[in-house]
Amino acid sequence: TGPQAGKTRAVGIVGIERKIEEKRKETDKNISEAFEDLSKLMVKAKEMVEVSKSIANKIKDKQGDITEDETIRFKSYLLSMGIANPVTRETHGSGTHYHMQLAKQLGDMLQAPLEERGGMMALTEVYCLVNRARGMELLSPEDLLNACKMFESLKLPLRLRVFDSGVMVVQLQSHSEEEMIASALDNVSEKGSLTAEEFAKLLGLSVLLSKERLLLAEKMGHLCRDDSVEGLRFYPNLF
Amino acid sequence: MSFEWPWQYNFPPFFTLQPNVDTRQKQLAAWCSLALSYCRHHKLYTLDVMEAQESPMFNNKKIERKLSMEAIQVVFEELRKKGNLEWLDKNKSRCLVMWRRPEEW
Repeated sequence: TGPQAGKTRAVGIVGIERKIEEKRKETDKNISEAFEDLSKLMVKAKEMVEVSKSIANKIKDKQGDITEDETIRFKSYLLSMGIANPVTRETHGSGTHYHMQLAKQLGDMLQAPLEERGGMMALTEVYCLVNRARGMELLSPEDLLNACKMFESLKLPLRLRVFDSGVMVVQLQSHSEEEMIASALDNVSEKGSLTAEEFAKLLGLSVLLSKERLLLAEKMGHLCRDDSVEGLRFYPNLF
Repeated sequence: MSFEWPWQYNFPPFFTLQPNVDTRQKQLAAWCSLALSYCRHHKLYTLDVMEAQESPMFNNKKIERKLSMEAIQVVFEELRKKGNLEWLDKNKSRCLVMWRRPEEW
């Protein structure tokens, strides 16, 4: 095994130092290259943002209430750059094509799990379910929300619903609210009074949703509350 | 003769101010009539807000419920609006309770 040709043979401490120096130079080069490329990329992206802004202004000039193909394509451009900006573009193409397709897919996918859970699921629960099933190409929370917002306009059998507390749920359209409230009242009357946790156990629901049901029934005047150190209990409204 | 409590007095939600507007109105009406009849029965003319919270009127020991300070203020304010109550000082800590309104006398 002879010495490698063309390379200074590393001997002793000087050799080690030289080796370290070489390695350092190489990583230096790699790092600076990476950053250079990155800044070049940023410049390009900046241009894209500027161009898209000017296009947005042009669309604004020609106000239209029909969803034209052009604006739809524009939306998906914005989306691919990660600058989806619905605030100024809401009048030009309601949502994106991508979200529309996603909404349809969700409609098929959620039907069975919703029926299993009594017709209602919290949005976070849906998020878990969908992303766990996907494994790859996961959804961002924003994508899911945007897709859910389109259920109604696509005439899908699902609805996105926002409770007064800000909790968002997806429910089946066939899901009847009056029935839900009536059954809540029945359950509470039967037991005398219930907390959200007890109600959740009784129905096999999540605590979050059972609380929303009780609050809804309270809002409609069927229940009233007893707030004490023992917890928040709901009673039939005898007043 | 002992004082006869209304049925609401043993109903725990009576001691929590209800968020539902309709329900709250009924609740306050019941509180007002309870407060007036309690004062009439015990011949009370003035009330101290702090003492009132500890008195049986706002404190049901049997079901371990007590009306909160804010709720008592709301009840008193409701009574004042109806003309059955007048504050004796600016801090609203003592008040004069009138079983009948001045114009009824």
